[in-house]
Amino acid sequence: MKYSYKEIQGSIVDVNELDVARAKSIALAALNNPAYILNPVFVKRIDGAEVILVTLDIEVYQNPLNGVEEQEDIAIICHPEDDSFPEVYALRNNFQLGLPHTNLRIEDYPVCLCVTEQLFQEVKHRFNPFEFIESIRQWLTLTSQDKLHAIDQPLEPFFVSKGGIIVPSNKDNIDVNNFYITPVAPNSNLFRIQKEKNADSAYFCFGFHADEQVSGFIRREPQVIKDLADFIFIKGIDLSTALSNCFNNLAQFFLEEKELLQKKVAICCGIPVKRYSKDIEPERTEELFFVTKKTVREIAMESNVWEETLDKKSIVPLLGKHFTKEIIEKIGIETYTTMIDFNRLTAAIYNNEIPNKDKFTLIGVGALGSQVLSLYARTGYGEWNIIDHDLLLPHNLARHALGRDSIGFSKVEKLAEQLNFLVGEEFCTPIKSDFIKVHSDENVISFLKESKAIIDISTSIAVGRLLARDYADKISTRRISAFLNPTGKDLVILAEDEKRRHRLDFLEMEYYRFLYKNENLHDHLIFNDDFKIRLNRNSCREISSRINQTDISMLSSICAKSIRKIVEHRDASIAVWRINDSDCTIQQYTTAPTKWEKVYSNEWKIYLNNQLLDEMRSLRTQKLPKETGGVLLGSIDMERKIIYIYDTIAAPEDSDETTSSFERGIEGVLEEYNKYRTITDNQIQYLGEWHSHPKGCSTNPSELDKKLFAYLADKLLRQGYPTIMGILGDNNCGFTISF
Amino acid sequence: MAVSHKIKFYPVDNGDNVLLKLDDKTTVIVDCQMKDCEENTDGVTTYDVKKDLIKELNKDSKNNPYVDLFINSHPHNDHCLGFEKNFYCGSPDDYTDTNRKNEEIIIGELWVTQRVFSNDLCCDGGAIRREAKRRKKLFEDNSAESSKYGNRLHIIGYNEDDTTVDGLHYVPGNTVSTFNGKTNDYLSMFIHAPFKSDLIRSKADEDENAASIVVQMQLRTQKNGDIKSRIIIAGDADHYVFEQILEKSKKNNNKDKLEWDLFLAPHHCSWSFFNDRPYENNTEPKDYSLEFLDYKNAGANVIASSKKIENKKPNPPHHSAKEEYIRKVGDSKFKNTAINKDEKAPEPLIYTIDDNGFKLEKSAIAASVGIMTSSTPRAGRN
Repeated sequence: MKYSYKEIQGSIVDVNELDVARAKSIALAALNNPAYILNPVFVKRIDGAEVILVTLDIEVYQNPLNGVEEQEDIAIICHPEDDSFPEVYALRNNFQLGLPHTNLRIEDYPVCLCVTEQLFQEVKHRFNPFEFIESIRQWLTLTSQDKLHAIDQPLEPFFVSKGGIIVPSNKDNIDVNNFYITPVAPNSNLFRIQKEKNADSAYFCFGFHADEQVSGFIRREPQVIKDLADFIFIKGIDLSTALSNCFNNLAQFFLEEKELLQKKVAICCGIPVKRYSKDIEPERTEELFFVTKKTVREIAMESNVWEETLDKKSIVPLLGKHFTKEIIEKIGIETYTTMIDFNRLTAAIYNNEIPNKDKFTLIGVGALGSQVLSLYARTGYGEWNIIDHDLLLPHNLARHALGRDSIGFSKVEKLAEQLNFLVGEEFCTPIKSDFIKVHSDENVISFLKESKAIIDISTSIAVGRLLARDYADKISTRRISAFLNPTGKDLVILAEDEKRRHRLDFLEMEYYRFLYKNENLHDHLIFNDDFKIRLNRNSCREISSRINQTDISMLSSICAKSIRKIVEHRDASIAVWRINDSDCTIQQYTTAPTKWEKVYSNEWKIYLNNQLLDEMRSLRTQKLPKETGGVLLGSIDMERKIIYIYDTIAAPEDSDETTSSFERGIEGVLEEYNKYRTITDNQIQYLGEWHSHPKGCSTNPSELDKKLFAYLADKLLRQGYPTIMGILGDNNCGFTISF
Repeated sequence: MAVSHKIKFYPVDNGDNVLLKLDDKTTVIVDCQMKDCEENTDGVTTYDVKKDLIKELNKDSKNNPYVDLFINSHPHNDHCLGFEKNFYCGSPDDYTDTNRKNEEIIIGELWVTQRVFSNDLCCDGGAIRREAKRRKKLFEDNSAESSKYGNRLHIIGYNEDDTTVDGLHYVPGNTVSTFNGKTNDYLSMFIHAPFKSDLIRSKADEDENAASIVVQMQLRTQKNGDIKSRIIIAGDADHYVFEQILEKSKKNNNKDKLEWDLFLAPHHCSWSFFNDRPYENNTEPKDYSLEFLDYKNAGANVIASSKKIENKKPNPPHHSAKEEYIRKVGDSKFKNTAINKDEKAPEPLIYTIDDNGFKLEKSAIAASVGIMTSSTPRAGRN
């Protein structure tokens, strides 16, 4: 045999003599595909493992990179246990060392290739021997083009480690002279680096900022310090010498602090690594972490640097002895895999999102708000100020992101505490207040202004209106409102455009009209008793909804994702998502926001929706030369003295329409009005009447009009409502209000 | 998208049939040996060259298949078999539905040597002669038609009387980068041969091989950019021709024209590239032949467009020639069309050429690598 590696020694056999089923299947695949799988030879090892030796003919450029050759000798080793992928070795004795996706072994050669990132158990059921060999060819082809290694993968090869070390995400702040490690759980091999002292730790820690390296500097699995000292240098001094200096400097300290003698030494080397030698800057800093197999005392005693006193009560240094480079080189070590702690950046990467540090304000962290915010924390999205004044009560646990340990605590404070802990940094800042009460506080205004968007998930119309109207032009940040319908089956998002031309209150009105116009949504605001739970909490009649957490979870995800998309774009939007309970699908319904215009402004402001105006004009045109008209529908914000007119019930059949007058009939009007009220949960109301004037006539009210208006005003004023009368002419419309 | 060219060496037994397809879709065919039979005498399935060419070639505005340039290195059967049947001969205006049905390929521009005008040619050589003559007549008649697609002609080398005609001849030492009326950003061709003396020798010995067209194809990946790959194709030129190529290139400061990344072993891996035949009487390769091979670039490949090369007669292909090539480039860099992928049904050697140089396609089976390269469909554990 051409190679003498112990891994492939055994008796050469015929394919039929192979006993390990997987080895046989790979051997047959090799024999059946001679085009690029050359010279197959089969070996049975004494330990029962079976080896397939082949030469693979590989697709490479004429000048392949990384020293890959067009034909490579490969060994595939299958073990009888069949509990992992067959081992794959490149046999050529000058195969390049230190390549990415190689598994480090104690010996440099043969080089163990890591040909798949899959878990064997997951693909065992469909393992294909030919495809397995192809994956080796693919490994070699991609390596020959330097394309195998993904940009986000560690630059150094993998080796089996004793355990793991979680490195803080802001690892640049690690003080190499002052850090500690502590197990994340009792008896765990997973440790965390921390600044705080951990007296119980079995390790004495120190670290180095090592000199720059080029990817591939680790060639074999380190067993003793010497294996590392060959390539780790600190300001030009090899690691063994640097460590011997450290040990000698610390010797007295070790002897004085006796508990340190029983500790092993944990060493962290931060090594800046360039991907290619031609690179000017290192791509990243790799943390190489290793621990001595023996304690300080054992190392010193066994190397005769220290000795025990005759009474065996203490340890003293031997005269003239110190920790030499040679002593340090022989210290056995175990390596630990370092892993960066979870933070917003890694959260974004693992979620396949672009990292985002925009500032946002979230008003309301109830069921929907808390779950949306949790999703943003886990996806590393934004920096948040969160406002809510509620405490978490037992019944909230059904649908809130917080758990039992938060009962009785402020929702915002607990949520901030938990999410900040989750991402390991300041992700959100809690403001435990009722937004309506504090909305004009300086600090509130300040962070609202700084926000990229104000997200209102308070599920409060009052908050929505306040956001839409009460800051005048003080805060230009766009507002986005999200809420569920009473049954929790529908999610609604109303989003202002970036320039705030479509304000939240207008969007709210258009949303009501949309519910009426879209038959599928007629039950959107219907809230039967079946869905109600009556509580005796803030008032004797407080009602909560029986909403299923699975629905909230689904809609929270849509909400989080949609708001993120909305923020990325400039446009306003009105959208409703509805869960279909029978097949668990979700249907989206949208309507495009339309323009509004202010038609009257005095003590009261009247806003007329342009789409309605178009409809009224169309009705007028249809009926010309006769007059026509109808009922004006909309909403009144009594607090802000704003009237929104956005729909009409057109003249019914029994109306009297002539060329000089219009008298609205009554047929079906009340039914339609009541239907509208039901569909919008009484959010829409009667505002008054409108009628058209013939061509060429002004929109000033006639004497008859004035009489009608006085009649209407008298009726409505008794109920405390203003009255509107609109007159539509050729090019304009006039509105009169009485209050 | 990065610019990428493709060159295919079809498995046509002892014969040449090469397609070059540039990134800009310009196509060049060098020689042809297109057979009808499904199996050769050795029981090897014949590759359907025509079917593949039709797949690769462009269609003109009338939906007729065409190649921008057809180079007939010399009019021997193993370099022009099937020409009459598969390539359209005649005025492109007369292309009929029958021609279309037969998928006859229109040749935008045709390159031949003066030797093609001899009367003693093989059957398909005669078809080339007739087509070349038709085009030549248009040129000599000063017809505007002669510069149109389907009528263009260039004679490589000199006339019988050692003269050349402007616009009709390209001679050794010329570099050509206009093909089928279009200047090409990616391809230029340096004409090495035929030399005057070899045309005379060829006529005297009635040996067309000596008068083969020899070109160095220079491939770029951007306009006026560096040459990324050099391909030398030499028909059946023998060592005498290469002796002159070497001598003249050195003398004329054209050593770079000797460089090669891909070299189509002349005369189907014949010993005639290294010395006179029979091999038994001339076993030592000529120094200049070996010197020529030393102009290879790193990782260069030699392609033997021949039957499977075995150490037995008949030849070519000569096993001894293969050994000489391997001595220069290494075993894995010597490619034989007859055994590519499957000895019993060989497929073309397909090279792609891009910024990184060339790469021989070696996809084993179209099926994806599957489980090893794709993620498991169920996620969520981590």
